[in-house]
Amino acid sequence: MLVALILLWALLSTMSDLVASPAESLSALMDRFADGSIYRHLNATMQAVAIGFLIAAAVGFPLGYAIGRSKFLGAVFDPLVAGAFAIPRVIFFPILLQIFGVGVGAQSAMAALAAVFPIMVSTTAGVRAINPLLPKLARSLSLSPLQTVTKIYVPAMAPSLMVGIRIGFSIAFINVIIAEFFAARAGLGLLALRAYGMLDLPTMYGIIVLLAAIALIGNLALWAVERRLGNKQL
Amino acid sequence: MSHISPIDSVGHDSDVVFDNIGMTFGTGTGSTQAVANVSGAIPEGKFVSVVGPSGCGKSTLLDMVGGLLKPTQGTVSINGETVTGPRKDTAMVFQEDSTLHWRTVLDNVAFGLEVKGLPKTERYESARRMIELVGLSGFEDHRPGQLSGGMKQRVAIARALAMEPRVLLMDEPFGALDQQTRQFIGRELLHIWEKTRNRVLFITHDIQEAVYLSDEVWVMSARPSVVKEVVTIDLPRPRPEGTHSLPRFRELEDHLWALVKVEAEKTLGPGARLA
Ligand SMILES: Nc1ncnc2c1ncn2[C@@H]1O[C@H](COP(=O)(O)OP(=O)(O)O)[C@@H](O)[C@H]1O
Ligand SMILES: [Mg+2]
Repeated sequence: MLVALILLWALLSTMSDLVASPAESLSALMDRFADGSIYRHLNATMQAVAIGFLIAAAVGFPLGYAIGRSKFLGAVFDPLVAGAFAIPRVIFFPILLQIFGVGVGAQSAMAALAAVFPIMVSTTAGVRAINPLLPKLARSLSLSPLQTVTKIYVPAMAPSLMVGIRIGFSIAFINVIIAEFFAARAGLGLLALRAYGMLDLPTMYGIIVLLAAIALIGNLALWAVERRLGNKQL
Repeated sequence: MSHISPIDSVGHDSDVVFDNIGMTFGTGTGSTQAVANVSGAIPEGKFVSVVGPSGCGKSTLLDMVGGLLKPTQGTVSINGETVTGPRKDTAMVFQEDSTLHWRTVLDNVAFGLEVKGLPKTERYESARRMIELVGLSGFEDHRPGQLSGGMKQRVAIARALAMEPRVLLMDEPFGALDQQTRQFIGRELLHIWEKTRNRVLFITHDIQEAVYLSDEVWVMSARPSVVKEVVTIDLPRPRPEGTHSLPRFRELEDHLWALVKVEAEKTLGPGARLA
């Protein structure tokens, strides 16, 4: 699959001047690493993804859990969350720029805003799917509230939590790049856009490959964890 | 062959005593009086079963003993202390699967002891004994997903037994199993219980099962329920395989059927079946 894609890319590059060849792209990317000019951008992007994801997790997991456990919160938030899905989160980016100014802060906020929803939704679904006898068991064995969460809810929900983490990471990543396309001081998205503006096609394609690789590797790693958890649960 | 009203058996401090307990869910017009008034006691070392029509309040009664529900009237006391919440000396087994699917059998059985704060070696030692007792030796490292329904229930029973409860509370523990499995596990439970002899409050809708296992069978009336009759099962113990075909067994079974049928018909109309 991957090999086929690269072959197709190589083929297209021979047919069009607007497509840089894989070899050119890779070497342009290597140059950026060699002269160190890429690190500022790589850092900015990864920082925004990490901060955005962490904020989304810190808000999304507890909120999703609360919505799943409380009938009242469920009744209030279910329609809100469903409605929010219809609105592209990215339209709020200008407002975030107003608040945070151009920089990592705005990209992080964008990532957090976008990633909080999938994390919340999968957590809520996970809580609701729990065998209703388990909370009853927890009560009959006099588990403390903390033990009930750590020994019953978290392990019982581990697969949904992992799905939330994986999707949340992807969404955070996507939104940081999109935000960087709009307005940023640094970032791989900005770098790719600049390369496009200067018609530096090898660099543009090189950055795109790097972004794809980061997304792919991150996802595969999380997916592997998810599968291991799944096997354990059998 | 039976004595009406268990009130006269209310006894010593060490008993599990029901003192005029009742439970009404909700208030006002939307309220349901599930249990009207139950008095009685589970004497030391006795196996008591409760039968009655579906929805009459059997689970409610059990949950009140387990401290999961607070009676709206009267008190349950264990060892002279009023039950105000779940106690360390009671353990519950539920009808549906309540195993923790991410844990091994060993860690499932040790779960209650782990929560109690017992060190690993101690809780595993006792869990291994219970696993052997319920016939799951060799499955210590399996996960519930690899076990049959009957084996999962045995895990739940072993987990409860590992707590060494003064009272074992079982709410139709074999209700979700097929007939063959439930008879087989019923026999095993009896063997185990004959060794441990803790008090058991056992809910079932299977009258034959109730007669086979119990010292006393409490027949509950339709909702709002009272204990309509306490039937003493005077079959000798241990009860070997042929027990089911003893004439006395049949007599007790018929008697219980007659009692329960009347109550089931009150809930569901004539010709209704139990549970
Ligand atoms: N939490 C509850 N809230 C309201 N009604 C309940 C609740 N639990 C049980 N009931 C009602 O109480 C009655 C007895 O229920 P239950 O004890 O489960 O019966 P059984 O176990 O004998 O089938 C039923 O009518 C049931 O609908
Ligand atoms: Mg019930």
